Amino acid sequence: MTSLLSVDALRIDAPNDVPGDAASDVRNGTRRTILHDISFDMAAGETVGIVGESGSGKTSLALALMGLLPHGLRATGRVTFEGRDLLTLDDRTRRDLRGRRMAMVFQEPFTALNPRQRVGAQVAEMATAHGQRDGRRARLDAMAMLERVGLAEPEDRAQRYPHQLSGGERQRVLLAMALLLAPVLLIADEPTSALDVTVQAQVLEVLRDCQRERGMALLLVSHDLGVVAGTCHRTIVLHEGRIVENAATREIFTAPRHPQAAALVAAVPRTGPPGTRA
Amino acid sequence: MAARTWNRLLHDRPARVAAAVLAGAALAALLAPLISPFDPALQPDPVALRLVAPSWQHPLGTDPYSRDVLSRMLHGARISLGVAAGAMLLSATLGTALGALAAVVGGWADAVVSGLVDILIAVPRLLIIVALVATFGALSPWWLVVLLGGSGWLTTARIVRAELRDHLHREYVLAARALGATDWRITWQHLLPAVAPQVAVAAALALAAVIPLEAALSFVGLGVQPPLASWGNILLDGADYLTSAWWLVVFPVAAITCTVGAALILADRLRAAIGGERAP
Amino acid sequence: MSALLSVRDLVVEYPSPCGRVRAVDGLSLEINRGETLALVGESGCGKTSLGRAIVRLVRPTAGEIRFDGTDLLALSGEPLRRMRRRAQVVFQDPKASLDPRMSAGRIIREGIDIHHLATGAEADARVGRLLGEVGLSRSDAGRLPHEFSGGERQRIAIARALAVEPEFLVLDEAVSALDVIVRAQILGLLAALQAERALTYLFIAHDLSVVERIATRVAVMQRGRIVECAPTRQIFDAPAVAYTQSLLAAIPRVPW
Repeated sequence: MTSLLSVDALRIDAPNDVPGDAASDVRNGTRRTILHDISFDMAAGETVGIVGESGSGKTSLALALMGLLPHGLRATGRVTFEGRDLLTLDDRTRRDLRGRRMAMVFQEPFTALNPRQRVGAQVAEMATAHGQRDGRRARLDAMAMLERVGLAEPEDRAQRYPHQLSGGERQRVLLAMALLLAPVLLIADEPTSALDVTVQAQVLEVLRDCQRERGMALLLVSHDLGVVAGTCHRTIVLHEGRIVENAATREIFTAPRHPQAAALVAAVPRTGPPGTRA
Repeated sequence: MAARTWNRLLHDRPARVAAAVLAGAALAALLAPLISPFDPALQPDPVALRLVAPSWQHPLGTDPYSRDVLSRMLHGARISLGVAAGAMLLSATLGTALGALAAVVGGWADAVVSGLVDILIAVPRLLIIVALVATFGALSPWWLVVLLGGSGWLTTARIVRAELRDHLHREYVLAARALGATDWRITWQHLLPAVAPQVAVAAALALAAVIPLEAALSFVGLGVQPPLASWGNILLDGADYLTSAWWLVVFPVAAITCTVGAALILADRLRAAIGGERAP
Repeated sequence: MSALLSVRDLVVEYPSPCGRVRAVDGLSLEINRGETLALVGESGCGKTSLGRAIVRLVRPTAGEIRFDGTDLLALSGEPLRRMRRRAQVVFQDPKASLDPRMSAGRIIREGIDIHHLATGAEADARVGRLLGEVGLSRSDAGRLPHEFSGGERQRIAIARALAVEPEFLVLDEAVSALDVIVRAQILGLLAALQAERALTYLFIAHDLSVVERIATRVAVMQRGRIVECAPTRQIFDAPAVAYTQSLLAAIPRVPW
């Protein structure tokens, strides 16, 4: 069985003192090695959660897979996606892959969107940037996508600028941009951490629906096991740059092996309507 | 200034060179009475020693009145740089104080200060000073400091006001208010330290602006009066001999260019150092 | 027995491009000494405005706030400053709530200095004790905020609030920006501090699940008003209002 994504001994280093705030600034400056020897596979259509605390390296992992690591951070090892080693690709092929085959949704949608462009146009631009010649077609597809991700009153919202939308609406716009070209892998890096719990529930539902509908592989990164529980069949727990557990989500909840995994399980508030509380 | 900004600056070569140039000029100015080979006003031989090209005796030559140019340049540095530094400090202080007043007190204070800035900024600084001198006669260096400093605070005030208004909504300022801190305390302990780097940039730019202004005024005879030397009036003395006595032009112009350039580079590097640390 | 905090018909309005916006719309509530009232609602419901109005960081448009019988809105100057000691606030964003240029020790000391509670060595000793109380070490006093993690910064913010010996603490989404594990630790710290110092809490949150363990009563807020207010168990076991039910339904369900 060939996997869609195969990570082999991935290691991310900050070789010199990265100036200013680096991705994992904890106590007295930057870490030298952000990720140690990360290896895992993902099959097509699989849903995998990556859970760890701040500083565990999960965001760096997501960025490395997309080829979006900030300057100064170096990735070694092998990341095979659809048979190709992502780490050795040239920039042009990388950019082509990004959006068409793999896409990413970030935690803070505000910084990922262009503040000076209406959001509808930004979504449509995803299509035109990847070869869609027909501008009208791109716009229609964009509108359809905005509706698909559950954006209320899409015609109205599409005409607005990012700062005129709520956090949840912005996140849906980002989702629309990511899903427009039907990628086979979606990486969502803490997509709901900046949102209210009610909006979080809605966005997670959209993610689940789109994933099921398209048979898309989903890599969901979060600090909260609870967020991952309802969406991912398998979960990888990261701690201080290493994988400490890689198992079915259910197994992690019922029989966590590593203390960090146990701590994450314990930290999930078990509440809800009567009958579902632990 | 925040440790990291300072750190970045210390490791920045252009900034170090610029700072060294300014420090060197300041040192030369301070030590002028000790290191000048001659008395700058001394005219030993107005006939034989006038307009002597640079030589061992007079490394920068002599002027039309046989005064040693090197000594005049050193003493001139005292005046030119002194006036510039004084004006810079005055405009930085005034600008910060008024900008802070407008931002923190708001209301009427903001209306008055902002209105004043908006009106004055349209007024050409040089013209006003020339008009004042024409009315009241030539100015002593002290008056120059007051006039140049008193007219140069506008941009600083705008910058300080904008920065502080933004900072006033930050949660750590709210926390200080919740603790019971007075506006005064908040301004001194939290706001001014936050804006200090930008004020430093504005001050460096002010310095770069005032040095040529003073030189220009002195050059047209409205600034520092002889026998006091300033880089501007050394140029004035040499005005009639531009083609024959190149040393009367080259050295003052070089001095002005170097110090202004150093100030501008410092301002730019400081801005870059701050830029890396701005929090959203 | 009168309540420690009593809010009556409070209105907080803000000017906006389309007229005035009512963040708090005629709201009344009471908090008794020693209890933890959780105020839960989504973004924009006005809960932050309410919290800030209570500690007089925002001026209400109308209504009354009484703290231990005293009319808070009628105070100014020195009496207001003295009253501020009794009610403190901890904010949501650990990055923004500490002055990045001040060391942890200086931050915590500020309240002590403002109210002349101690000077010199005695003040430093107090800072040291407070650091210990929130789970940090004395040697952390000289460090700058960026050298601490998010959870540690919140501990410093809590120590800063405790330095003036308050009776009442407004926790404005104080754990929302933290990782789940750290969140649990800070909640534990807050519970311990409450017991040790006999504190009363107003705990503002957008997520009901966060408040289940720490709250005695829960008030659900929607569009500037309280739609339901009941003891914690009742809210979770038998929510009366549809909105509360929807908030409960939004909590991620763990099927195992």
